[in-house]
Amino acid sequence: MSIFEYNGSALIAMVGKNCFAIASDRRLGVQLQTIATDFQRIYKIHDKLYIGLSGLATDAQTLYQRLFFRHKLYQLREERDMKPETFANLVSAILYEKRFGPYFCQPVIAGLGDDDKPFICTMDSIGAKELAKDFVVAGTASESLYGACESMYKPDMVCSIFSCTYIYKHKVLDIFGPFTKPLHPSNPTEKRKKFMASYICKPTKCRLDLTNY
Amino acid sequence: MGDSQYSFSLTTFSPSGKLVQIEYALMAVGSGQTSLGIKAANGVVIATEKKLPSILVDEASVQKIQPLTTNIGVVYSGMGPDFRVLVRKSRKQAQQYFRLYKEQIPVTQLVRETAAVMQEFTQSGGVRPFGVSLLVAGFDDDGPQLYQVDPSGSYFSWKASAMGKNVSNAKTFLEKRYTDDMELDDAVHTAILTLKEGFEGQISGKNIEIGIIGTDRNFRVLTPAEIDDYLAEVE
Repeated sequence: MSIFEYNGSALIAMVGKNCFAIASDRRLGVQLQTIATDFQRIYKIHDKLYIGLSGLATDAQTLYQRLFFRHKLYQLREERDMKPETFANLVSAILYEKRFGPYFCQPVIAGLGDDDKPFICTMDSIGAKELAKDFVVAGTASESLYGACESMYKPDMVCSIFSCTYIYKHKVLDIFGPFTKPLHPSNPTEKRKKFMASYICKPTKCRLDLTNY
Repeated sequence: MGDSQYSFSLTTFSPSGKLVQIEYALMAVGSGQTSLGIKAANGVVIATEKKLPSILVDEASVQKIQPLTTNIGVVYSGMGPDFRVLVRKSRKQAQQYFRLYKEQIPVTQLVRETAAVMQEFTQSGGVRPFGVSLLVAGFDDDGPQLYQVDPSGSYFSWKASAMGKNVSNAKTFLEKRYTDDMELDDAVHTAILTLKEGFEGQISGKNIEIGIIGTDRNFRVLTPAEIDDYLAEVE
């Protein structure tokens, strides 16, 4: 089993109309054993910038702490928040610093840039950036997620949380309890739902759950 | 930096609480050629005298005003070689910032880092303070900005300032002439007039240097021909 699959993770970020959504699963495992079902993978850097970290959990936590530290210093020195594009470049540089002993993480970065334009990107564990206009995925379930996104994505969806979560429920088999943050410029809200894997195969139940939002 | 015999700082406090080396460095600045800067509403201009020791010197090879990035330029009063070292370090810092953030360095950040370098040399072993004061002119998202950085490492933001030989006359002249809503062209004229005040001999495009930056955010040094045009307008 590869080191990236040790803890298990699934992350997705999607762009909608003047908004974005970033979602992750909440399972922390040690190979096949589930240790926790409330593990946080998405972190807030500032009001308009979130980062999700998939891969080895310890590296994800440490990397988040380092990035938060760097952003805090930047905020104090420059008296402003970092733009998502700038932050993505910083993450890329920090990952490449460890080129020959990397962090076993794949970040997914999502934020609102200038004029609240949504920005998403992902990168590999040594900092190769992948910008996208529509969606990005990362983690052990990435292949399933790619398939789901390709078939379900439409541009300019009003609140991509629905499609994001919908995709989660339907297609992804190794996730527990997604954690979705639909980010609209005026109203950044955080919604938590705890789902068990068994719900995935029951479309009716999923739709009901969505209306509870 | 220095061998073990000079691992102590040469810049030490006097009984009156002053750092005498810095005072002397400021004197070196004060005996350097006049330079000045003016912040206009839509840009910044920096200018300096370019008096060469002999007519045989190729004046085109002497560049007292230097760009640090595409949108930040700098001029100095004091020791030329010290200036070159600082320009080199500042340019490197600006590029390191760009490599990290893929964003042009804001003027305040570059000034802060340059000032930190200058301060280091007042508190390290075996080195002396820089014998230059810098005037940094830039245009970024916060608009036009003009900063002065001293050998001690302190920096100030100015609307208009002068340094070097003729500093008190130049500052008085600037105080009278400066207005908040000045345009860049007016600022260039005012800069030329201020330099003319203390200039010995005939002023021309070949013995002054002017650098400007406007809303296009492109710092550039004016050619002698362009300076002569401005001079003609001033007369």
